[in-house]
Amino acid sequence: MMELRYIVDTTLRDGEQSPGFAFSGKEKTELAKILDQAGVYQIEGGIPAMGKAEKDALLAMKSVCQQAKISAWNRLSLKDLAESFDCEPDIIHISVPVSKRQIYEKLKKDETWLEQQMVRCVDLARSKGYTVTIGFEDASAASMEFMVRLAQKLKKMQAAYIRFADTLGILTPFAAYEKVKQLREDSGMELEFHAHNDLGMAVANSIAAAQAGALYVDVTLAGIGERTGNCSFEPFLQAGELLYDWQLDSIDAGKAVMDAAAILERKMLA
Amino acid sequence: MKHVLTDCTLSCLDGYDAAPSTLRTLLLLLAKLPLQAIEMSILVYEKIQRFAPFPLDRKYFLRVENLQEIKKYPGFDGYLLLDKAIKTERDSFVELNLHGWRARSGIGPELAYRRLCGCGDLMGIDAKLCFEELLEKQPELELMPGNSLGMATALAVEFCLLGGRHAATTFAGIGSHACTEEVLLALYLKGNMGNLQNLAQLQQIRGVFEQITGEQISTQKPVLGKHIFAVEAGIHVDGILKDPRLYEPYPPRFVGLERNFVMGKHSGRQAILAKLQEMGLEFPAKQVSELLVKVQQKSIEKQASLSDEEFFVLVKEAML
Repeated sequence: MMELRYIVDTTLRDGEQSPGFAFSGKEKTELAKILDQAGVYQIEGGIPAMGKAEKDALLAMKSVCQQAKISAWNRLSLKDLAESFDCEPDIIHISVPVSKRQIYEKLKKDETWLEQQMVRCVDLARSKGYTVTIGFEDASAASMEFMVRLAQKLKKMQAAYIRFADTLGILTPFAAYEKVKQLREDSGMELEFHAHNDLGMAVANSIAAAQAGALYVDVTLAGIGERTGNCSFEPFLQAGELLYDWQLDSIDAGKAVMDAAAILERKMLA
Repeated sequence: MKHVLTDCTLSCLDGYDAAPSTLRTLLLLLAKLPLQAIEMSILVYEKIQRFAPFPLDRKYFLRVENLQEIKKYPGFDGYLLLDKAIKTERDSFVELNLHGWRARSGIGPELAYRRLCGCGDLMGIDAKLCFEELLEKQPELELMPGNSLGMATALAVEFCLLGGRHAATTFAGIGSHACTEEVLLALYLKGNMGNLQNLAQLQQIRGVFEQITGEQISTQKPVLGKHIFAVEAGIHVDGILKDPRLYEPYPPRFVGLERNFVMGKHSGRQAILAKLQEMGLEFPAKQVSELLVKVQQKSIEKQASLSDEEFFVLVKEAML
């Protein structure tokens, strides 16, 4: 028996965020249905803070999916969370920038603020009964000690799992392995790995992360996503299926996924 | 230079009908990359030999099928020949890098180092043990990883980071190998390439390469893709304006590309302002939010990002 692992598809969030793509609600619902039938564990459906169309799409997705969990992406903001609550997603995902440059240059805050704000946000979502996952943005460049501290806090607050995001796609597989292994062991939290393909290593890094114990791996159809894209669904599974059971369903469903990926590939910015 | 990198693109183009002058241009451009050696096939060599001598500060290797061919084409720094004696596991095989015939000694070609090809099914951390073991026994071993599971670049880079001295790659990974451009950039970003001004000539190589193969390289392809520094998401544009290093792993110009803000469904206020500035357009600050809504609506309507022309039309309409 192979160990069980879980696919998180973020075509409809990180994928759509890349230039060239702007799915209609109908398209989003159709893609979600295909992914659901294929047995994808979690579908990151969108960003409710973007507005009504996005929120409606998330609600529609939830109504058509039989088994996949629909997650909504949020910045580290109570206002964003309020928008997400309207969509009643299965999972509330909160992105927490963890590298020094992200905290100081982008947020213009410091670690103390970040930790307090994270606690406020997680508290709020947990108090409403939501399953909460946290995304450590730019984790590759962050201090391990700081991430472990945050992760231990999140464990106490019963966050479900933490996404290790290689936001800039700068990791190599052995480094990805070491970081994921250490964060998981030192914090006791389960991890999800989110790769970008800037050095052409998204698949290799995601495999290494799974070997290091990450239970969840993020993919997108045709690998669409910021810059060079994310970890591409099909190539990832070609390798990943040799090692773990990703609980994906029938060949027919798999074919529908590949057809959808082919359509997206043609839509890429020419 | 810590590593000896060989580009084998010119060994993988026999199936294309490339003009000698185009192949020569490709050779000259490849020779400008921080590589140590360039390998070519006999077919390619016969097309471009009249342009010899090639740039002198690089080594040149020829891919041959037997010892007679080494004699027939003298003057190369090395010859790649399949080692039929060694049986390997998986989809891999071994090649020999041989010195040419030495007239003085009269003995046949001597071995410079072995090249291990394939190993494309080595995954993640498994590769580490394997490489460590190999390098301990044969420190001069060269790796030319295959891309059967999409991990060739990662294998080549990790092999070098573990102390491997020799690695072989091809441009854009043609022939199912590690990508020369990805390996160079990754090693540079890991501090293993010393001082390097830039790799901007990669864009010229892309042009010539596309001309030879007749295929467009994906606009999303790492290092080479035309649109890898196009950005639409408001949160990313905002970050890049504060400090490009937040969302760009290296400066676009380093690889001969430019950043480009694209307007669409995911744009934000800061992105609109930046785009107006990029296009040199004056626009009343009060109306930016209104313009943002129009941009998002238009993008949702056409289910794609806006072209600069479409954005320009919206700007003009808003100013009426």
